[in-house]
Amino acid sequence: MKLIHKLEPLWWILFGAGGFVAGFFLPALLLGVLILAPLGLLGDGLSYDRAHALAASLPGKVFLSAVISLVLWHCAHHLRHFALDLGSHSLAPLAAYVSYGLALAGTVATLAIVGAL
Amino acid sequence: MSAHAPAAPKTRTAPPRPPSGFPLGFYRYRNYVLFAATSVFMALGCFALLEAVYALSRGEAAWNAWLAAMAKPHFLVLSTVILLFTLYFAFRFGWVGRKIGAGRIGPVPRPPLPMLVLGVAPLGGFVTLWLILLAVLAGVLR
Amino acid sequence: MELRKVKFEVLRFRPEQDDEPVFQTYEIECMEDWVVLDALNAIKDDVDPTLSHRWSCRMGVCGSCGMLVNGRPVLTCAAFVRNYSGTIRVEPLSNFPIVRDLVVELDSFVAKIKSVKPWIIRKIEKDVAEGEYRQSPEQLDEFKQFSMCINCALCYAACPVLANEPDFVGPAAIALAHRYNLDSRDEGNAERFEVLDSHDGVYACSYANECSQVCPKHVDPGGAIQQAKLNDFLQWAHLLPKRSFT
Repeated sequence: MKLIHKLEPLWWILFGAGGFVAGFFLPALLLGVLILAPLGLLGDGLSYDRAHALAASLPGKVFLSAVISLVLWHCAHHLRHFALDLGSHSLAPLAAYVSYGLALAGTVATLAIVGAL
Repeated sequence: MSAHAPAAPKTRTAPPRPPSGFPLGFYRYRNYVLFAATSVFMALGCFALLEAVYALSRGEAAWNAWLAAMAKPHFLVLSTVILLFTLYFAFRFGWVGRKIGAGRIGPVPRPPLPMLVLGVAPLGGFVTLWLILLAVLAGVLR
Repeated sequence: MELRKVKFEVLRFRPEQDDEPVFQTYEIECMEDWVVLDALNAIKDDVDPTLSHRWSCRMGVCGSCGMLVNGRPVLTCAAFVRNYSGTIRVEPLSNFPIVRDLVVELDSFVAKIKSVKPWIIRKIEKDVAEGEYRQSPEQLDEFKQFSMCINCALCYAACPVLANEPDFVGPAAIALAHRYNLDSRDEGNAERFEVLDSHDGVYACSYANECSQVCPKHVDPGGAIQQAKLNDFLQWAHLLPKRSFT
């Protein structure tokens, strides 16, 4: 837990960066990929060939890895602190390990999945 | 405390009372809870994006199957809820996040007044960027 | 001037007779231009002399009369009775132990303010014969807003983090530390760093921004804390030295 406390500025900058990219990119990404594309409203913008070309390009891979992992770190930090606000003092170490652990796992999974493109 | 008089014995105190209306009783604390909830839904959104990328990496059939699955009503509802929470997050984070840019950061001084006024309206900048990104996804750009 | 009968539901706590705080209702005639503090003083003067509450300047500069009115932290000298309808609930500030009735124990608040060393720190003090420290209006502007704090502790009462993390340094202390770190005359950034950087320091803030919402002097401690977080990160990561930049 001491290490977690020592690294607070790191968790915060990941939170801030994640919030930054979430604000700038997530709404359009989610609208396009989760709603418009399945409904066929993007024309052939996200047809397999084009989507694969976009995502598998180097800028595409960097973009996807950065956005998804940073947003996961943002969510982890926010939820960990909110758990503290709700009064779970005894659960504080658990909240920290679980949230950052999941974010780390998510980052690894993101790099693996994006890398496999 | 006076240096001459002995300190009076302290009387029993009542324990601190939490802020009134926290977490769900007062509308601003309720918004704070909603703001925290955005993290749950954004994480779900990230999970969905990862699913999409994974489907993309497994070939055309998998990608089209994933798109078809996401077009089912219950997933569309979930996606809409995720999107709404993400939008709420973006506005609130942008609205309060501008405060960081409003002050001195190390050697970089506070921005001049016109820049501060611009920072008060993150809405225009956000929406512009979102439209550009949507256009990229739709194949209209690049 | 019209008089209006108003009911006040006031939290009482007398350690010698009460096991725990209990509400007591008073009904008094209030004049149109009264503030809640006027009503409390009228209750104490004419109805119940045992009621205890803090007040001093009655004009919003001393910070003594902070209380919860209908659940929100306000200076009672600035809370007009006519702006409330129905029964007005008056309680002592949240997040602080209650000494008696509407009086809270502010020891932790004072200790936190002191912990950030809220004074000009110089490595070497200038000799008086060398003249004054000169500061331009632009340099003053950098920190002036954060110097307006009257230590009323309303921000501590409103902060949802403090409810469960009582060791959090708190909005007023961080805003004050930031005020001195931005002061061109100050060289004590490194000395304040440890308190701000600790996990009870700036990073315990979850940016509810309630502090800025209730601040009667528009100090915007929430904004100060966010700026302090970024500055602190850059210094923690050794991207910036620990010194004032103004």
